Amino acid sequence: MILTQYIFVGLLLLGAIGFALAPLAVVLLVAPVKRSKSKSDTYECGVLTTGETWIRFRIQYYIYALMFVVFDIETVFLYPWAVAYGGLGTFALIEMVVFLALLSVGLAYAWAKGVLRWV
Amino acid sequence: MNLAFSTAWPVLWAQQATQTAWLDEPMLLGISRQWVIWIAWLALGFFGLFPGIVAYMVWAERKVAARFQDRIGPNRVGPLGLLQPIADAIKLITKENIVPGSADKVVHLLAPVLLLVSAFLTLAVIPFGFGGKVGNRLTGLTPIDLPSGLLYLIAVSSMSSLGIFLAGWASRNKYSLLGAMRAVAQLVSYEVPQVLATVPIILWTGSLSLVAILNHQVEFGWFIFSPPGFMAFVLLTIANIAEVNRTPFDLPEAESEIIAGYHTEYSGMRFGLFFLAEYLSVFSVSCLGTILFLGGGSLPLFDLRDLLSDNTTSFVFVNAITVGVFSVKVILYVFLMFWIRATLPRMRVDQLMAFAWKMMVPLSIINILIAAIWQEVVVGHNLNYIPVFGDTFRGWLVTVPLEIVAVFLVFWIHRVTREDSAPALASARRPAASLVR
Amino acid sequence: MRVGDVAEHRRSRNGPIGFLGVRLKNLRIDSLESAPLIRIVFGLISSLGILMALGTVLARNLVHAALFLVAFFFIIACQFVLLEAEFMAAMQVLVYIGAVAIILMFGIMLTRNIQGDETTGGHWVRKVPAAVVAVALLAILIAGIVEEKPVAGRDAWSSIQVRPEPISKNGRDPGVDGRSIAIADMSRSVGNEMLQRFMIPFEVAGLLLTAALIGAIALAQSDEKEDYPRLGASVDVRGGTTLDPAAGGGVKTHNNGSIHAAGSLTVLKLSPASDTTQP
Repeated sequence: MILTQYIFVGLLLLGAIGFALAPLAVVLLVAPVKRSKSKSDTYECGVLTTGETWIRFRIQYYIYALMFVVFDIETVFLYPWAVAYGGLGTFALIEMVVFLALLSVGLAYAWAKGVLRWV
Repeated sequence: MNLAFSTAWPVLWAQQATQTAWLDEPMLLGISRQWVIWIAWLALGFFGLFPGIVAYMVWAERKVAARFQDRIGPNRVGPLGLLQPIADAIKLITKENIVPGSADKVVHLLAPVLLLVSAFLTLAVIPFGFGGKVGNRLTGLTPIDLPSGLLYLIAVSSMSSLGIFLAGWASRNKYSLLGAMRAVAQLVSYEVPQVLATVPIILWTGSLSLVAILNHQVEFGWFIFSPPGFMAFVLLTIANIAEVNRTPFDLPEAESEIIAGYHTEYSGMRFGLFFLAEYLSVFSVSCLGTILFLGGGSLPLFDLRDLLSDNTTSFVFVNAITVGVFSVKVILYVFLMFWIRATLPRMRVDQLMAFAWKMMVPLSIINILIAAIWQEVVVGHNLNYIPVFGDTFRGWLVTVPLEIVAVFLVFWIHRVTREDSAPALASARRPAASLVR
Repeated sequence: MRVGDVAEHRRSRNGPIGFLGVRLKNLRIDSLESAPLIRIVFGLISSLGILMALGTVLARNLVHAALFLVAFFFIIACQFVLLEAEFMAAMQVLVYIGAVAIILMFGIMLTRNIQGDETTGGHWVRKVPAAVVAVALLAILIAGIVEEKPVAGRDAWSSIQVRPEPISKNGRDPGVDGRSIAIADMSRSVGNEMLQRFMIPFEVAGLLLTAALIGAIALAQSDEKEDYPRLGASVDVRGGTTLDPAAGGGVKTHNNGSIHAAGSLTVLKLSPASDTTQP
């Protein structure tokens, strides 16, 4: 039953890919193709690009991504908790308060360390 | 009553799911009814609804923005400029597709497709109307009703940040990559409060199914009419605007700094795909806000379920009304986003990130706990539209001060710990310093 | 379309599901022998997954390898759907494609050699032991699955073909198929188990997450003291100087109106961007 529902998701996925590629196919037929050296250059406001683009970024992006992963996993726990909460009562609330307090310690640490400051 | 609802729902859902033999009956040319319905949804979606919505949302945005700026907006192509989107589409298709020579060709093509797929998949679970009725429960006018529909919606919409990163990376352009890195940092930061803001709803409904959420609101009142619900709605709306990269959160495509951000190297129809994906996500986050907090297709104080009976006429009639109501709510929500875009200037990148992590995340975590208190106080009773006497009143009495305290606390902590003002405050604690800003 | 009267059509548990007019008997995921279509789908998806795994290992470009890995994560989500565990499938997409893929990409952006000319491949001295370890690991896993000792009174899980009925505490509702409820309500079962039986592991998981976050921040902070440019990205120009492409928040203003550049940059570009103008 669930599987049958997901057949629709599969159909929609294929349809969406088709929906994205169909106009591109039309472009291949209709649009002009005039290649030139300068046209295929990287567009950086008319200035020739200098140096490598794929360089090292600073660690702050990574820290944000890591914090996101931590809080994303928090949702993994929060969602089933929220669904089951109605049938479990106050004890479940206390458990979740403890869990959230633990994660808030992490957030507070990041805050105190100045990681949350975007420089 | 509330508790009974949340535990009874899955049983009913399962019953409903097992009682679908009528869907297997052959209907047309031996194809089962289920498949006919799905193919109808797909055809309606891909050939009518989605292109139409995007095209006329763009048109509406241009008109609205023009009015805000005391202009007329598109008015040349067709009456009121109504054919403008079609002209734009033709222009995009007939333009040359330029891929930079140094770009990663395959990933360059993959990125917009991934974005568009993620935008399309979110729309599969949204109940646009009431659908049919089994017992006293609505089945929802939706292609599929997944038991964890809300989670599915959030999961597939979170795929878009990967698409944006790939677009910027594959272009091999410094501005694109910078835009993409910024965009992804922003998207992941605002996804946290976006997801946390939906938790109160799940708490009260006891189900992840969007149809169950619709049913709950039809039964007990819209979720926006409770203090934690209103707070969650505000948080979700802010996070939604940030998730679709619109002003004041449009730093990923800040023209004055990084040309066009992650889609700098996309031209013609490939750029059009980004455009399509952006407006589709605007539509889908508006649908999400409407279905979670504004009661979907239901009208306040008037129960449309009573009009539903077993015959086809009432089915069509009620669904036409509910889809209409739903559309009005979505249009208002989208208009709110246009309004905000026309009004507010762009944020600074450090303000943007600080706002997500230092204000919205703590506030949404506190809001979840307040929502649990609301559940404890008001449980078993209606979430009423107005704070009448009884448990709902008590709930308001308890949660409104808590919400106010939470907001002030978060703002105050943010204020005293604000790094960029700390040196200035330390050197001279001038009272006027806060007024300058 | 008659919607109201579905109650009269009760269908048996092993009812057929129409598939483009072809009415396959016993198309059910829990009985693999009698569901040829599911077997075909499973085979297709799994072989695609193996291809993606190979791509992850063999791709020379790091981003391509990460993309293959993301495709593999998606295949895992599909497998969860085939197992009717759609809650897990959604979680898989949310956590792995939505979050872990991003951290992979940002991790790649921390490395210098994205094109991967030296990092992949290598000499046979390294390749041979790697292959031996990989094959040994596979052998251990296969042995573990095949030689699994069952719990007393039950079959080994590797030999189970038909999924057992979940046993509910309150006994089965006679009107409803117990399995369907469990599947339709997986998030609740997960929540109940998590908050009751696995309460301690749940809290420990919270502790682990916090520890991971604090550890990463502590490591990154020590990194920060190195001579990194502090704004956006840095670009190595051939001359050896460092220059900053207009990154966000290039200039910071204070309440007292003074402007100073954050970080240790040699070149600072002032652009007419909105974020540099202040009262």
